[in-house]
Amino acid sequence: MKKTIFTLSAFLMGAGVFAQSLTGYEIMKKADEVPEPVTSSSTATLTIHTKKGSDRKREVIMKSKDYGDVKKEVIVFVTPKDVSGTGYLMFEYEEDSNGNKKDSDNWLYMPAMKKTRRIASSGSESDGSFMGTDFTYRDMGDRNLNDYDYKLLGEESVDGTECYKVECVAKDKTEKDPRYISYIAKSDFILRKCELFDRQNQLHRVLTCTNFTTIKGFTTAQRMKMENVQSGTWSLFETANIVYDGGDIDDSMLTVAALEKGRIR
Amino acid sequence: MKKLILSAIFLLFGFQWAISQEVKFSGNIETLWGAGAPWTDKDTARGRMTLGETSFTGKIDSYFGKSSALVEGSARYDSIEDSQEFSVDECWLDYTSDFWGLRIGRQKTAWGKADGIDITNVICPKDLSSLAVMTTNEKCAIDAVRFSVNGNQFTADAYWIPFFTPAKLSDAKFEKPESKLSNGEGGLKLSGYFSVLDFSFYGFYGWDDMPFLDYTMSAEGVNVTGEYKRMAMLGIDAAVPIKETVLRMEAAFFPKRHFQKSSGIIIEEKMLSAGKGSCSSAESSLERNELFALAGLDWMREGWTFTAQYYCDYVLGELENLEREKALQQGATLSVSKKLLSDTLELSFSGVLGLNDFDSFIKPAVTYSLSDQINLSGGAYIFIPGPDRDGQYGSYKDLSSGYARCKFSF
Repeated sequence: MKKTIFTLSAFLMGAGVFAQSLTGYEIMKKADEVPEPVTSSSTATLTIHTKKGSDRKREVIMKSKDYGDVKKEVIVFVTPKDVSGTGYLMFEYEEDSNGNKKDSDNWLYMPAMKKTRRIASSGSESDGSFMGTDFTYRDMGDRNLNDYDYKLLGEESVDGTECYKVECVAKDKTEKDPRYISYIAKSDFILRKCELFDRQNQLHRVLTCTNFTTIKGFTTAQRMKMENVQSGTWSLFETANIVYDGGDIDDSMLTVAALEKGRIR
Repeated sequence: MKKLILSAIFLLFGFQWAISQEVKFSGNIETLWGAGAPWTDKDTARGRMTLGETSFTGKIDSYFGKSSALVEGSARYDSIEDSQEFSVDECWLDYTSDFWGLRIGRQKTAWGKADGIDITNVICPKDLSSLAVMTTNEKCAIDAVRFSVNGNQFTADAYWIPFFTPAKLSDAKFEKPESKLSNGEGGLKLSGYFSVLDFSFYGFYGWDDMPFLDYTMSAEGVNVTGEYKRMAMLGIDAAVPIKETVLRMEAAFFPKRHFQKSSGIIIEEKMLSAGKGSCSSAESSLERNELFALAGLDWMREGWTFTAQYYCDYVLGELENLEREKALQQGATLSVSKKLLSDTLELSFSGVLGLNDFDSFIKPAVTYSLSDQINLSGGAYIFIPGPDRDGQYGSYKDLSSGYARCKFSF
């Protein structure tokens, strides 16, 4: 789950050469090190399926640029219309060599109030629902590799793709889902499925990644579904209009000024 | 043949224009009804309709590359007053390049980091025309030119406002300063955005958007007129993220700001002048330096949002002859909200407590998203007087109302 869902978690590289001798940690490290494009631009539709069977939709525009030590990302709502133009700007910092990670910087622009508000590090909201979906903010951001203990449980096929089955247990037991099992494809070290367990160690949510596409050598899951098996709800994250390294994102677009002036379209 | 080629060229260019220039239309329809709360005065307020507004707001947003334009207008019908109002809320054109930008026309903007309390937020005037807009801290647009310089971590916005727009009042209109270049307003905002903090500096020179009342005697009695006075402001704000919280601070200094004299003093001075046979030249205000500051804290976790603020406003110098009775006015605000049911239901409570008279204004509310287009909400505006005096908020006690609102967004 390290590769962010926001940046469409799955990128192709580094086929499983050392398959036999890898430990759980090494597999997750390889998944973590799968190359990503420098810039990414896309639109996404989030479908929220409620217990009663009704669907709500949220459409967003997403842009990001990786500067190496920091990744700058912006999300702007297109629908629902009453929040259209609302934008999040996030600066996510990379882990340093000691495994420490600086808190992210976050801003929220509210067009109705014509104001940008500094909001606390996403870590504070990390177990909260992302935009009312079954995804949490933690799912949408990077998980620190060193925040978990890993154990290779074996191998299993997911939709015909051979995967490593790696158990990840949070060192911080206060996490909402402190244990999860990642299914990492042996061929490309890209996440195919994830099962998340709650504090009572009961299966809570299941993430499945499908509709893979390869753009400029980067493989991406265009469809990610998170099912809450306890509540019966699910959320579907579908991306479209993906452009990698397209030269369409300059530094000035990933700023508070760009958010306020409505430059993210 | 020539006509055919020209038509083809027009069609081709027309098609290209149509696919490259985006025009979006959006808006909302809203109905807001409210009635006086059970504890208000039984003869004048209790059970009487205090809110009866139906409105339509439409917005057209067009952009092509670095150029954009926006027009937003609204039509409102007030069922209580049986009156209609049409307004141009915003209408501007904008050019924003990577490093600089220009926005010209009727526009709205907001300064400062405070929530619901205006400290440095003096650039757009207040809308006090109805109970509904008063309680949401709504602002009016200004007719301005905004020139911006944008860096990755710094922005600078300079405003020139050639036409003064006063605060919108419900039932009173006073003569504005003459529209001439020397009566314009200007503002400057410099902002920085960093990991450790965000900060801004502000400067404003213009007009106080509230009128100062003057009283003149005539054979028919006392006539009340209003005039607007010059105002300057220097301000600063900062937001500091500390783990799960954000600390916000804001302060402003108003040099030689005008303060309203009490009506009794104005009339007395005019009568004295008249008695001496001189022209009535008494001023309706006195100049004093003023300091206004606020500190607040935000905390968000798992759908909960908590905000608390403390503010104080201090007038330097003598208060004799002024309407204002205390040099230090202070208060605190609290806001708590929780989102439930996949963010479709929001319970919120916000309030402000005046620490001089211990009067308060509280707003409990429930908002439910019936669909992606329709929002339903219900709540109350509750004004509570202080134990000894009504105070700033308590003076509106008979406007305490329960309300229901529905909104369709498209």
